[in-house]
Amino acid sequence: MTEPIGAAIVRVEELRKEFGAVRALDRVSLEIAENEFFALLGPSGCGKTTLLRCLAGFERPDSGRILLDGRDIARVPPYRRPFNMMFQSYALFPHMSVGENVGYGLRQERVREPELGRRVADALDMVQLGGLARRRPHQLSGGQRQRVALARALVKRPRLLLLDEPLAALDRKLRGQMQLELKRLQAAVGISFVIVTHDQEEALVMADRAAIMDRGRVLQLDAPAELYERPATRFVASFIGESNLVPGRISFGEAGARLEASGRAFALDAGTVRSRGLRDGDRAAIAIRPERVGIAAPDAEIGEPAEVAEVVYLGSNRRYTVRLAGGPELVVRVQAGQPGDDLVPGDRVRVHWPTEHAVVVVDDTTEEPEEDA
Amino acid sequence: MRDRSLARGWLAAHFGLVLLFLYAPVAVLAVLSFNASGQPFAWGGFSLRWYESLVGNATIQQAVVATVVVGIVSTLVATVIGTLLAIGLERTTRSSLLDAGVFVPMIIPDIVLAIALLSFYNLVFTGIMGLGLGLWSVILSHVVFSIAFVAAIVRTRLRHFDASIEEASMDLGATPVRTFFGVTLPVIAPGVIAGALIAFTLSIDEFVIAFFTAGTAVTFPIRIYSMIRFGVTPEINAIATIVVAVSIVLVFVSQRVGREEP
Amino acid sequence: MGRRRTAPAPSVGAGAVSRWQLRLFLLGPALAWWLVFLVLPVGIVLGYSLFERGEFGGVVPNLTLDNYGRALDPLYTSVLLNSLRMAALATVIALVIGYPVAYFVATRPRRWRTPLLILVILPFWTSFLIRTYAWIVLLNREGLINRPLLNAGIIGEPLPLLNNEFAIVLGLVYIYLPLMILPLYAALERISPELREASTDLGASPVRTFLTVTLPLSSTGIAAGAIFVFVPSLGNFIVPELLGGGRHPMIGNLIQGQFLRARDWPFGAALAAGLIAITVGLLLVQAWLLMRERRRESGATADA
Repeated sequence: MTEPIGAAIVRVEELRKEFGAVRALDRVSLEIAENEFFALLGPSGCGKTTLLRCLAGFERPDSGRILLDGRDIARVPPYRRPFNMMFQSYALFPHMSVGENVGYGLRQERVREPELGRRVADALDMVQLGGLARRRPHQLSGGQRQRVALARALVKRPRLLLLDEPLAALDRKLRGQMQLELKRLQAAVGISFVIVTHDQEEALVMADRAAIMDRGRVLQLDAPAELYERPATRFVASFIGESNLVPGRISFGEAGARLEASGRAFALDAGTVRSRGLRDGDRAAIAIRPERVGIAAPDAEIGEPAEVAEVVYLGSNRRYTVRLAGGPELVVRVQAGQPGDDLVPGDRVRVHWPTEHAVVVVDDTTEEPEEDA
Repeated sequence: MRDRSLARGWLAAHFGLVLLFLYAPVAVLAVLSFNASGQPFAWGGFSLRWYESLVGNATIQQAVVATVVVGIVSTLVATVIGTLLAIGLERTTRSSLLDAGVFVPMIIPDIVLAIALLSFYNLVFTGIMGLGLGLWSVILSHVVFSIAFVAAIVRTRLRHFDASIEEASMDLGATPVRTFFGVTLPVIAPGVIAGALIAFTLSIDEFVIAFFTAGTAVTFPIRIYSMIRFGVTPEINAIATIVVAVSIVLVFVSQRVGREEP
Repeated sequence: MGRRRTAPAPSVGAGAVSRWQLRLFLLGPALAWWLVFLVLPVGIVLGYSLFERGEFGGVVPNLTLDNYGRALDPLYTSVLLNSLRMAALATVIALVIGYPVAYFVATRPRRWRTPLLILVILPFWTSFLIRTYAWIVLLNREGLINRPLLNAGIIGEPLPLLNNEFAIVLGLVYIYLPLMILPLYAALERISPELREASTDLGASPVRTFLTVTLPLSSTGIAAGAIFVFVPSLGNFIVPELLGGGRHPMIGNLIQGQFLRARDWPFGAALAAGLIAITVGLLLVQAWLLMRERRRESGATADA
């Protein structure tokens, strides 16, 4: 797990929350540090939104603590927490102008003119909406409304800014732009952002660290590069980007740690195996990213023989499905312009990959691995 | 394709006829109310004499005042209670039983409600407490059905209400009470006003329940009823025109208000 | 955007007040009012129906079923049957007249619908006393229908348009027609035009489409409209009194008579109990129809 760079602001300890039979949070613990962009990532229903709302104060955990400066605030109502939220629907007050919306939180703090007006104007400038203070929300575009929501949350200078799927409503292009803008904004104001998203690409682009959740548990908490290059479990490997997964069993031998699967033995890095807590005989899998698989000529002396089964042309790269001898299929990606970018179904090739990119992952699914034939 | 437009022509014609059917009788009354001769067929020239005789009529004025008082008081009470009810139904419960239950006061035949209330008042207020029935008992009775109408109208407004603005308000530091008065209420205000106007309109036009529960007091509809029973007179035409005009204006305003953006 | 919450969270009052206190504050006043001024009074009426009439018109709490027995007397059952007949007739006529109106409004372009609907509903909000009175003026022997016909020599004698069942049914239709149109419109408006298009695309004629697609899907609206017209018509006493000349009493007139003139409250209560029973019965039937419709609808569309 990647340790945070700065000091911790909030520490979440063993949070549990159940809705009837559904366990939304299952002993979740993590830390959010100063000046970091933190992502809660996972499929719908994994508990990320529940966790965010517990931080905001709209859900009360059944047990566990949320520590701020050493004080447990898990049961403190939202209007007494120094956190602010940007809502997915923006939630602008329709009966107030943009300026009144942004100033609302300050008015609750009894901030008066002229400071109130100054801070509102500054906040609006920061999101490039200066001069629109008199407008009403219904006169604004979706993107503008989002900025107002941002300004409104930031103007109070909270310890944490919570964002609930902020980019879900935007189209692809706008989403890309906003991702970078949010990242820049966070760096500019120095306030920690906690963002909930189901889009792994989004998390990789924006976050300093991300926690991947599934069914109420945090599976891995790391910087994006670590999550991508060294996923901890099968779920993480397949949720983030695309992965080839070969399930099997661990075996320790004189040749070192290996994964035995489908009649083959894959060499593993012993250190990684131990750090994942895997022992001899445990079920596990190896994850290989499609772009790490190399294609060589059929007569090369490297790797294994395989036949190209399917070709998908994606412009800047090609996505091949190749079938190895004995059955298993791998997905391979080759950049346009590289050798091997012109294969057709039926071609015979040899596929290979560096050992360090065959990452061993904990098998957190319920499938049975293929037994040796 | 020709069938389509033929059918549409018939539909439109039918619609026009039905509108004629609905509005003609009242329009006739309005025209007659300005007829100096008072006879339906002898047009005696345009005149306001029937309206003038109304203005001087003390019993009618008393009845109007009584009706307006009943309307205002019952509307105020029903609006508060009905708005709370609408918020409660929309936010704090999923019971379809309650949802259906709210319709009962609207659908119950007014004669049943009238005699039930009469029996109740007679037993409790007159029998036990020795109070005579009057405008106050009419007010209590009107609130019963007005609550349901206000609640129904406010609920419609609430459905289009993004509840997260209440969360946003609290997130920004406002307590639930301040959120209610600063955010919730202003946003549903048009619906509340629309509901209040409808409740007021219903109350001032309401006859049956008032008839049974007013005791010796007289509301405007009760006065109209006794005038009609004595026979058709031209003053009634004038009254009718005024009542219809007022109701139409109130409903119109209610519609405009209920639709506006806060 | 979709539902983010998996439980009905109280967005007002997170933390400060308990759920139950909030519910009590919001729902309490209305429910309390209705308990005292609706449930209790109706209960009293039902109770009275089982008691005896006192000497001077009061109520004596001796349990008896005599009142219901009296209600079965042919004198009263004939009134009941007449009432049912006239109310049913009014309902059917309102349905026949109102359905095309609702269909017309529901198939106009969206921005026309509300104004047209308001135009139709507006009369309903004005005093029904006035509206009934208007027909007295129109229908009587010297009235606006008879006079011109007499003057023009088309008829020799004034048509008996008033003080009969014709006038009563006409009056009932006139007053409650908007109440029939409203739920019909709501049901018809909800039918996606794509369903009609799919039907004609598959080869059905417009009439067929109407009979097999539109009509069945609007059944909940028909049921609701029928109840909104039938129940109030049944209990109406103004229309029979003013337009029927007192010679064609309906249940409402009987009840009114017992309470205000004959001072036989227990008997009036028994009659009212009958009316309540009919109302409740119809509402239950409608609720059952509604549930059936909901179940059917949820299986048939993509965004179920």
